[in-house]
Amino acid sequence: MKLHRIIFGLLYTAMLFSMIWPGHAYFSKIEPWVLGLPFSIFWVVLWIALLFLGLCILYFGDCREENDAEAASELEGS
Amino acid sequence: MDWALYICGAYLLMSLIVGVLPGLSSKKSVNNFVAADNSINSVLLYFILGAAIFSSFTFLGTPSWAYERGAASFYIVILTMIGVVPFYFLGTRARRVGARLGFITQAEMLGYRFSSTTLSVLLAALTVLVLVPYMVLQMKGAGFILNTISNGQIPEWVGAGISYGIVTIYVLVSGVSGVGFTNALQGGLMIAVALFLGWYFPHHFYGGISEMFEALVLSGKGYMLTAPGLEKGGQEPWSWWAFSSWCIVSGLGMSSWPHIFMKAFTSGSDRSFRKTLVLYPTFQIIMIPIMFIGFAAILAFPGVEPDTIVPFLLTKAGLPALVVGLLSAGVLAASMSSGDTILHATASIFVRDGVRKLPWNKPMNDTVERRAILASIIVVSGISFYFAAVSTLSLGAIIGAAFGGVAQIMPVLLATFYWRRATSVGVIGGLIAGISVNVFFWAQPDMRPVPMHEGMFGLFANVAVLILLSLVTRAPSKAVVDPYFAK
Repeated sequence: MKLHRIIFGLLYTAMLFSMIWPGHAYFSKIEPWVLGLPFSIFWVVLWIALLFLGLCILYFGDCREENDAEAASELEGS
Repeated sequence: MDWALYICGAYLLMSLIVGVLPGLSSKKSVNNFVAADNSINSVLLYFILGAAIFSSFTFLGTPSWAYERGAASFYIVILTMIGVVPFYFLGTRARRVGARLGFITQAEMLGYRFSSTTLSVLLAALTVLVLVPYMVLQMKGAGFILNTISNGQIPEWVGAGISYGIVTIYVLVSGVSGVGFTNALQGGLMIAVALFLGWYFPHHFYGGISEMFEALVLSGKGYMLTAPGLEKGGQEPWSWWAFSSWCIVSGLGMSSWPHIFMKAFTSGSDRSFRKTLVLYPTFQIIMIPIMFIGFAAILAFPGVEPDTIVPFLLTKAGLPALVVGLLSAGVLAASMSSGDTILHATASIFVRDGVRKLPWNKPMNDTVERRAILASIIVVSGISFYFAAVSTLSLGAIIGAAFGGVAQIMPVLLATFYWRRATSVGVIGGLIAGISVNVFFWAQPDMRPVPMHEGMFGLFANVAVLILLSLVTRAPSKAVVDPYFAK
């Protein structure tokens, strides 16, 4: 298991339980207001942003892994 | 009101042109028609996936959920957040094995993995069974909107006929490329319309987005803004059991839908496929302003039948024609961009995994198969049109239930790529058990031990039977399974 996949796995699990019970039940409230939104709506927006961030970490990690693998197989070939 | 019709007309004409053009120069083969010779780039795939999931339900249903049930509508966003991630992993693996063994549909890939024609035909039947009502729903949405903004001068069946006549033409001419290019147009339009309207409605009625929410809280409706929102009817609070399980079942369903899953095969490389899914949250965020449309109507227009809140806003809220036209074009785009994908997939799967696999049918060559798919597109479109024109069934309820059935494909997909020991008897048994339990609790909601989505109980039964039957049957041959696990 590569580090970027572990980070993503943890983030996805955190997202899941923040979007369903019990995490969502705890954080879905009106106060405090953030960016003019009730906290409950900001909470969902925040997790869309965090999911995007997590997917970026996953994607760039996967790309680097592939590049390394390609470089390694080229070395073997030469 | 005329201006609104002109805007819709201009949009329809553009869809036709953009949809037909790519087909004029393309190769006439099955793979090109169904999977674009695995050459769809990530920008196009982004719009195909984004726009396929953004259906007329998103535009008509999300505001009505927000209007009636408040924060319960969050589930429509959350399901896509949960669903996009399994697809990142499963889709990448599917793409690889598809490129190696030449698969272009989900049923084909699963049928080979478990050396089972039965599984392939079963999945094809299930696909047609759930996708046709889905198609009918999209058509009704399009007909409904044109009927509404023409003040009834365009009957619903004519509206559905015009918009889906156009869809049928460009799908026939251009296949998946037509779907892709029109979805880029439709997706772009939807993003623009959603952002504009999500800003416009709160400003028009309250003077701003936070002013709108403050007004809701001040009027004592603050309870609508916190999850899990309200039960259908808008009186009782919804339960966390229901909210959580709806999010999970629908999320798993979203990444299992055959018409969405098979788009993994259209992609040229792992990287381009993954890039699409990384960008997917930019489509999800658009659902938030669509929710605002419904929230804006709560205080401005109390007491409207929730299912008709969008048509109400279109006709009775005294909005400028430009806004009415944009919202209508947005709904049409949402309907057609899902409808074209569904039409294309249903016909392709029906021929490739159903008809072609039946034991009494002779092998088809590429030309015959392509013609059979084209013929099926006309048939599927015709059948859906018939139901859209005559049926008065509440299809929204059927689609809600269909997610529970489609989610039952997820354990099969997971077993395909992550558990070598899974056997054909195991997955077929699991599917049948899952779907039966799902249908049982759908028909008998009072029998549920806890108020969860019926699909959840189906999934428990499905996984248990899959594991049990796989362990007592003979492991599949290594040669067949190996490509599914290769790096």
